[in-house]
Amino acid sequence: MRTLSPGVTQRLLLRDDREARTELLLRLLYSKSSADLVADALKDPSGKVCETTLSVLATVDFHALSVERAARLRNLKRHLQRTCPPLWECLDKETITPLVDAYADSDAFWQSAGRTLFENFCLFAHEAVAERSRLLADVFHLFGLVSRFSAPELIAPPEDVCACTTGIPGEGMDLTKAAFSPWDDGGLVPPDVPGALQAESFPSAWRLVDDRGRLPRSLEPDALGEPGEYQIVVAAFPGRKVSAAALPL
Amino acid sequence: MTNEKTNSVGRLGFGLDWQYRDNYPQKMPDLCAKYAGRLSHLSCVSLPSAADARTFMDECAGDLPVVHHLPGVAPAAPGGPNLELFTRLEAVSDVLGAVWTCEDIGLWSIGPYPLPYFTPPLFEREVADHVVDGIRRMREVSRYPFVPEIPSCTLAAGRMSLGEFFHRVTDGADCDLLLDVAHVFSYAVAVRRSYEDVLRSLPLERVVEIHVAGGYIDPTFDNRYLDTHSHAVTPAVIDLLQEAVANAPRLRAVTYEIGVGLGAEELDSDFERIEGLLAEADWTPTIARPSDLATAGTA
Repeated sequence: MRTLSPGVTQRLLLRDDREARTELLLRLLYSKSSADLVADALKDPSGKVCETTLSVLATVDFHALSVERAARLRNLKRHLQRTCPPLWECLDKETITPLVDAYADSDAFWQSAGRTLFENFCLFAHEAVAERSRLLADVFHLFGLVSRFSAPELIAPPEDVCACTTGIPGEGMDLTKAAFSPWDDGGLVPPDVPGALQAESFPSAWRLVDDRGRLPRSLEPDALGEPGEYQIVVAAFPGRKVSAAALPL
Repeated sequence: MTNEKTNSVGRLGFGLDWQYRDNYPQKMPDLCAKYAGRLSHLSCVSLPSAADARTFMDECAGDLPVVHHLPGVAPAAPGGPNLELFTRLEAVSDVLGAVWTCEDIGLWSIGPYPLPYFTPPLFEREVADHVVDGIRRMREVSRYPFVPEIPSCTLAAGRMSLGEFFHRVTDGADCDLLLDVAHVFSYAVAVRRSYEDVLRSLPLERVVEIHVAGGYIDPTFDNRYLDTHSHAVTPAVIDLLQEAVANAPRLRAVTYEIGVGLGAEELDSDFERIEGLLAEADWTPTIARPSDLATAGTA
């Protein structure tokens, strides 16, 4: 699992500019590793922290910060869950919660590999679970691709935070133009899907989507269909419609 | 409460979120119709397009003046305001005939991703100056005055106080200010200062709009105020509203921001409470649709 490289936070502590101090603030709000590293540096700041940054960080109440960070992680989980409820139906809390926590505390959180925050999370989770469960990795691959082609996320705030800080979705991916995909296609070329603007695929030992193209809502064997070798295809159509299918290989 | 009680003077407006238009105690058009005659204006956030703005005007606002609450243009963002988004949203302001645009000053994204919840900026001089620069750049491409809003603060960091920061922003940009009294309360709670003192530290002479909304203090951590818009307005926030109205000589509009979790009775009760407070203060809004707009770049 990709974790947070301490080097970035260390470099931010040494830089003497507004952007670095702002990024440090954001990292403190989401990353426990960054916060711990900063707290340690403040105990013995000589040569580790720029003087101005040191005096700015001295204004941070680290106990309040830990409460704030816990609240933000809860908000992040709820945001991801509302973006794609079926994924949460597939996975139990014990599986998904540590993955979201690890995502917020990883370099991946700060690097935009996916088109959306949800796809970015799926990319992280796909890689994080790949060694222990191919099934989970494939599930994250499937949901990540669906998110990639879907309408942009609505950024409505969770219920227990300031509702006047709601956002607006971006333009989303221009599906008429080819774009580099961060997903591994497993060497498979997606079939020609009539009417589709784009399609991506990957091999899986599980069917994952049923005859009607419905996404899994459980990882029970009955819900996943017959085991075998499949090419999972996700295709984007005009109007932000997304379709998925499992083709036997 | 009937319209007769307030002599049909609309003293306050609603602050609404277009994303939740079907999730209020009533659908947005029905809600606006229910309070017709008691509303001075509407403020709306998250209108994504001119077409949505047209629907909003036709179904909700009618002849009421409208404030366009922007959704993440973010002059405080490290790279400055998102002028692509801002320019795109000018078409929304055009349809609304916006009296002004506004937005909470804060950080709205991590890289290209909107944050699930925004963050107040570092209260530092260099950040205030950066916000000033951002507001100036926004002014160059818009025909509508931009009014920065004091953000909600569940955590405050930086060597300036909220008051010092917003004096520097509004003086530097020579702009008006949107005072959210619940946000003022959240800051006071976070830094454990008297909320009256925090209010008095702000540039009240620049305030043209006040936001008020419900929320509550986190029961597990008492220096964290949650500005939910979905709970009753706390008495301290009502106190702040009363004092702010009395001390903001250029105040033109009071906006009651409502959330989707608010029940119809709570909404009505708080609307009446705010309406009564404004009537008692003998304060009336002076907000109207602009009769014409300056050419882009000269506003």
